[in-house]
Amino acid sequence: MSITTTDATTFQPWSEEPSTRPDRRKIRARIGGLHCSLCTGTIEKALGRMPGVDKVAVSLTHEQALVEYDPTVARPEHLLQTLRDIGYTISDPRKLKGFEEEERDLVREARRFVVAVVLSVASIPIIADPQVGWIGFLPALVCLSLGGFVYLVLRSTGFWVAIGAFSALAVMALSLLYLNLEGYLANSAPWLTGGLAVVLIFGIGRHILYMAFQALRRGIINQHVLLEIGAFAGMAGGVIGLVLNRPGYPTAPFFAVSVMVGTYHIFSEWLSLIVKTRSSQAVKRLLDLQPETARIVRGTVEIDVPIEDVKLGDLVRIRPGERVPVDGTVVSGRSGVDQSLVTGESIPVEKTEGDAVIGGSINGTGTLLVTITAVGEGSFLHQVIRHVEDARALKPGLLHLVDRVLRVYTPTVLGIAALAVIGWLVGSWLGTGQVDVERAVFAGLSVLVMGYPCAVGISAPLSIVRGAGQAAEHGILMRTGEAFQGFRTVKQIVFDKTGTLTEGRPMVREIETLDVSEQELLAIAAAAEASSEHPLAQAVVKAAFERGATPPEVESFEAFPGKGVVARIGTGEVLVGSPRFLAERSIDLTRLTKRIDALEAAGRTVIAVAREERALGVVALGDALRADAVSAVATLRKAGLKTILVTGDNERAARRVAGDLGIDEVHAGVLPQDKAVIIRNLQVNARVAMVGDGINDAPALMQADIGIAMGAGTDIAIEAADIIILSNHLAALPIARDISRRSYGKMVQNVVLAFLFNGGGIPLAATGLIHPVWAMVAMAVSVTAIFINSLWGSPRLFFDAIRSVGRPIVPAPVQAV
Amino acid sequence: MKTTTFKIEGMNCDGCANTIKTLVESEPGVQMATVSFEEGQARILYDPQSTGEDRLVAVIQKPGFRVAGRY
Repeated sequence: MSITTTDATTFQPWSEEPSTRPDRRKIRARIGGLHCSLCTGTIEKALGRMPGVDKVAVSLTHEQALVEYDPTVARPEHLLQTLRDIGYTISDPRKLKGFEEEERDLVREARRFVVAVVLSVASIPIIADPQVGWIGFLPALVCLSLGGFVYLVLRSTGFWVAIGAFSALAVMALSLLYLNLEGYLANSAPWLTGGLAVVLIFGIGRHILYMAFQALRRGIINQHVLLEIGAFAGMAGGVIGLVLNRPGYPTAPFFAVSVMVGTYHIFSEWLSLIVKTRSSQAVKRLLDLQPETARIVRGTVEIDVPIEDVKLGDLVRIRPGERVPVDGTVVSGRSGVDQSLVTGESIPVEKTEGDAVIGGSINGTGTLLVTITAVGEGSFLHQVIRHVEDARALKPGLLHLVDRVLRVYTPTVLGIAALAVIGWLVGSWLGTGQVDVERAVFAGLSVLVMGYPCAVGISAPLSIVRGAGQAAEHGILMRTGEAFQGFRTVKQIVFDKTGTLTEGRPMVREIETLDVSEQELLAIAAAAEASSEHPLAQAVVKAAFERGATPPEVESFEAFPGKGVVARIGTGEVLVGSPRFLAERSIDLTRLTKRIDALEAAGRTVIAVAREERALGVVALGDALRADAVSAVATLRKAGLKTILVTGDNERAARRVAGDLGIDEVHAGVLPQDKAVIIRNLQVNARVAMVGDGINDAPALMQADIGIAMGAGTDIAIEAADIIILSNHLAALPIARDISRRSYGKMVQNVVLAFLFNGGGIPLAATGLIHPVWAMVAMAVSVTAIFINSLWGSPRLFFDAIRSVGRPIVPAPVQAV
Repeated sequence: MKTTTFKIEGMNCDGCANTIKTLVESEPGVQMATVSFEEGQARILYDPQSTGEDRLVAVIQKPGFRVAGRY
């Protein structure tokens, strides 16, 4: 029997790159399982010593390897197989596409920001006016801070690139300042700044213009619209200045303000992308990115086929410990299958000929041959995905704080601008008998320019940077804005049972012995079970291994499916199995009967052990509550949350767990799609959070206002969730709620700060008496205030966030090995 | 069944320990394994009829780790 790698005709898990020499080929492979920088050396060595391989470069940041090889000697399949052999996994490029695109977006946005900063730093010295006094220093400070950001953005590209860019900016600013102060720019300044504004608004910021237009067309007034209103007001003010050409009119400053608001807006977009990319990269680390394949048996050959290419009736071999890739019926073989992630049952189920298996469950110790009964849309996993999509559409929306404020703020600004224009028109006519159109327009434009709170864009991302940093310290990943804004308002919390409140796998809970030590009993039980495919066998072997009990050699062995095992160990015959199995074989269990009854009443699965016709004791197995489940549920209840248990497992198991934890409400035997329905019904009363880990929890996690997945949970659950508990500790739940509350507080403070300075400036601007430079001052002050407010005491969180993402995906320098 | 502890050199992080655990556990005959980066060792429970110490040493050494002792 031969096994080939993934069928190359339909799918290949690598991509071709142009190579440096015509007789060589270069491939890029995405690798999983890289943990530290030293791992890259291991891979470079292993691939480098393969015949035909010229160059290898491994990037830890991008989890990629570039290999240049001689196609007449080496084959890519073999190169990748070598990587698998030394313990790394190969990721599916299709699964990584979204992540790589996001990374590219971030790099593009960073480039835009750098160009925007160049324009800003050019415009500020041009409009510098030594007559305004101390305010003259503020733009210098703005220049310096923008330069600092450019350094941060470019730092990941290279230290000298960053220093060089920073120095170039400084030289440019100082030369322009010199030209300005010497009076060389007196006539050209309006045209220069005008040009910069046009380049920024219509060139680099074209996409914002487009988004603003799209929003406006649909009657939505968002941040983009508000920005364009401010930017166009500035441009209009500048154009009027060029036309009128009147001394003392701030033409250049009007243009410069447009440049500045555009720059700050691009900055806030970049910051939001950093936050988003960073959390999705954390998610990426949790997902299984390997290509999904099924091992199809064709005659005497087994081939790995991509899951989308399998057909009804194909035969699939499932080896021990593997995930069942498809829905099917067992044709031959016997194994205990762990369905806890699919159905919520906590004890594995024994499967043999004729039994159905569900894709997503985990095979136990036996090998199964399965014929496929459902593919594509009909399969269980696809149905769950459809339910997740349904839930996504039905999930109650949460209006973000900033949008809530903008809904009131923007019309107000527009109203005040209109009032300022009308006020000046009417006022001047009443006062002097002449209509002062010029003053009226100036006042109106000043209000609009002043009205754009450019710091509002950074208020939410910066509070999230802080909150996410604090959350990460507790092993919590808060990936969406909803997580921060919504969790604090949740009044009901729904728990999945298996794998969430409990460990999700059977463990040896109690041992009762007669005349032998616990060690010896476990060793004998493990020896007999190790050769069996019984669902609970692994739990017994694990308990023995952990306690240092080495199972003795088994000489012969006979399994009675569903009952137990008869094994010959040394000289004696050993019986391991259900108490009934032992009783049938006339083993006297009277000394253990009371204990067995008590354990079974408590919901345990009991395995009895006998040697040479004599009972030695029993081993009781069950799914244990997580260590911190009791205290976490108690804390949440004390905080006023209603606790609810929703499980696919049976009523008895659910009631017992709920009783132990003091949970308020229980729903048992719930089908995957009905979990989301239960959440929807609860949402009528108040906001709901759902905690789960399984495939069957995914629709409910999506439906809930806040979905919380366990880090060890299934991919589909993690992707549907807003919060992911990486530590798998339930104690993180109250902590996450606390962080949500504090972050929301910070967000409110930031939004207040963002609107405070601009809002305060609006009445002043309405008088038509203030210079547009004051709008820049308001921006600089509010941005600085928000930075200080958000990052006070922990600036590292911000720098780490920037440095951890946004490295350009360019071919790493290929080095000879 | 037999339990053997291998002293391993060359592990750099918990990731390496995980890599070894995955590799060893996918070896036929291996029932269970724990690999610790801190202690620099692997404890493996296996069926001596299906695999052997030398075979396990080879599996561990393939990615470039060194087995410095067994007991």
